[in-house]
Amino acid sequence: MNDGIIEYKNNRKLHKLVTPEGVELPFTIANKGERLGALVLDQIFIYILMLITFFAISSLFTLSYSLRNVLLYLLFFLLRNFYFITFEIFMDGRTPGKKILKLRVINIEGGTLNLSALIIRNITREVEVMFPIALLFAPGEFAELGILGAAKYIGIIWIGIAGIIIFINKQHRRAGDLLAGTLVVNAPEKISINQIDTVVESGKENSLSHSFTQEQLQHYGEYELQKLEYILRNNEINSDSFKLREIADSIRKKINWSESYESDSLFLQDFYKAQRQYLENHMLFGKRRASKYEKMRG
Amino acid sequence: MTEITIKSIQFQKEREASWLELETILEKVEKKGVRVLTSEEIARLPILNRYALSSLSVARSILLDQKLLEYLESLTQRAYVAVYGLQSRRFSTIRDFFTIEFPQIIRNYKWAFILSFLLFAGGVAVGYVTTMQEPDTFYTLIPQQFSDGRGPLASTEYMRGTLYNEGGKTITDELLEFSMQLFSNNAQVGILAVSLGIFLGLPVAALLFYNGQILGAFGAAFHMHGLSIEFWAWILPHGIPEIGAIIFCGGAGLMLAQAMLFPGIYTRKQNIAIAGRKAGIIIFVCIALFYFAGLIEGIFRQVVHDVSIRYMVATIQAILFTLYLLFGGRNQKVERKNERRNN
Repeated sequence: MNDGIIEYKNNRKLHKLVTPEGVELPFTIANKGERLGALVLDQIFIYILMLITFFAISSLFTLSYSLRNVLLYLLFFLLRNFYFITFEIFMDGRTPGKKILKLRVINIEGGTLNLSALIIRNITREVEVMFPIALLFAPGEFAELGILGAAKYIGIIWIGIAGIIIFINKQHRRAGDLLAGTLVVNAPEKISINQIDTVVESGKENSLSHSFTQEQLQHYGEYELQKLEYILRNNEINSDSFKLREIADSIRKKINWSESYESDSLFLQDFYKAQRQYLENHMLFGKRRASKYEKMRG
Repeated sequence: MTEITIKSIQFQKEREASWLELETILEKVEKKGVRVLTSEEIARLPILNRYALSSLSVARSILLDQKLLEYLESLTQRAYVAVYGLQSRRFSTIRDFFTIEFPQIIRNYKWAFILSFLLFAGGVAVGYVTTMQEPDTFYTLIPQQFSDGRGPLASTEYMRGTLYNEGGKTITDELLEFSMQLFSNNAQVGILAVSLGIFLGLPVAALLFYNGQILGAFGAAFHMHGLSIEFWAWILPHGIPEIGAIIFCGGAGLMLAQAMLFPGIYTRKQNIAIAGRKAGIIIFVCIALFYFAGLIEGIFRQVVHDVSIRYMVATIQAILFTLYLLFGGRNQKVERKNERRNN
């Protein structure tokens, strides 16, 4: 599993999941704020449901008072204890609160998310969240569960530790997650292939107005290529002819290019294509060059 | 004009169609779940998933198009969630918990459950003996809300009355109310027993022992009023599933404790997860057992007063349970898809 090194992307922690096919996929780990938010939302929903149930049952006058009490008691119990687990089972690892905040539960080892995992991670929520809260507000209730004398205090400390786990764990997992082998992550971003605008004008992928020599393509590395890609994709920059000239001039100077070009924009596009082909061809042989400051490696 | 071939653009052109097909299927799944897929789509999903993953692998090693890499990562993440993150065959999985997995786990971890049983039985013995010798122990052990007026100092008629319903409520009311209260109380104890397991087993042992003591103390109290036979006749029919469930939960807690202390070939975290999922199955079945026990207790209190019937029902249950634990789900493998490790 994790060797203890946490990787970040955009200031969010990553989990490098390994799929059963053996490919590493990065998932963004949900941060504590998001998890708390989802929990609060879910609690609100539970209360709303309880209110609705209360009014619904109370209006059933044909049933006796005590029968209504029983039904209420039963339904409240079911609501409190089974809200989370029912949703997680039937909505594929999400509760309404999680869905709103775009969070998902996944198996941290990369395999299938088992039903038994969902069961255990919800069972422990009682101990982690509800008990400490109950402890704070109604210590007398604990006598019912029979924790006597010294044992009572030990029990309380033990339970307190469970509640703290989520604050200590680096991946924001709570005790239930540890027992179930799960992790709460952000749902993957949805990008469509149609949204990817090509850097290179379509129709022109296979041609260059002029050719570049090997020597001229040996000045830059992947980092510079990516910067150039960014520039070509960025509408603000590529409609600014002064900026384009600046960039084109600095490249021309570096690679010693003297011929004239129809336009700076065309020059940059052609250079991009040529440089990309050059670097990718070398990648095929395992040779990579990170930037202009480094040599080609591999 | 010079000819030039950029690998990544070529790469994308060749594979776009399949990626787009995968995207369409994923859109459907993400909106409405797996059930809206046609059987063709369901068959295509894992294939397209592998295709996309291989595209990603290749892209990472030979391509330099950042946006394409981001796209492929997003696509494969969504595909992973659709293939592995979603539940299918939920009901047959749950059925398998009862018929196959539960008895298998009990057999594979016998030591934990035997230990759990011994702790409980030990508690019963101690509770019984100490209360017989020193009746006041009853009141120290058992809080008032629980004892509800029963005990060595209560009158014999009162004690007898608690074994049979003589209250004024209608049958259905009493039935439901009682069952539900017991069910929820017991379920909480069961859940507590399992959860405490992660704290190295000592609290679980204490909980089991203590609950045993309660039972023993009650047994002694009823014995003092000469109501032993009636008491056990009352306890056993619902007690077998109920106490059984408490013992199973305790055993599951001990299983967790073992997973933490002695990880074996897996890392500690992996081991806890493996044991945790097994504990989840145990508690699931136990909750059903608690419910069943609650129902029986309610019904028998109302309707079945005959002592010999009560004993008979208890005996039949004991036999059936023993057979179930010994032979249930033997030599059956649970069908699992997409598992990489054994667990």
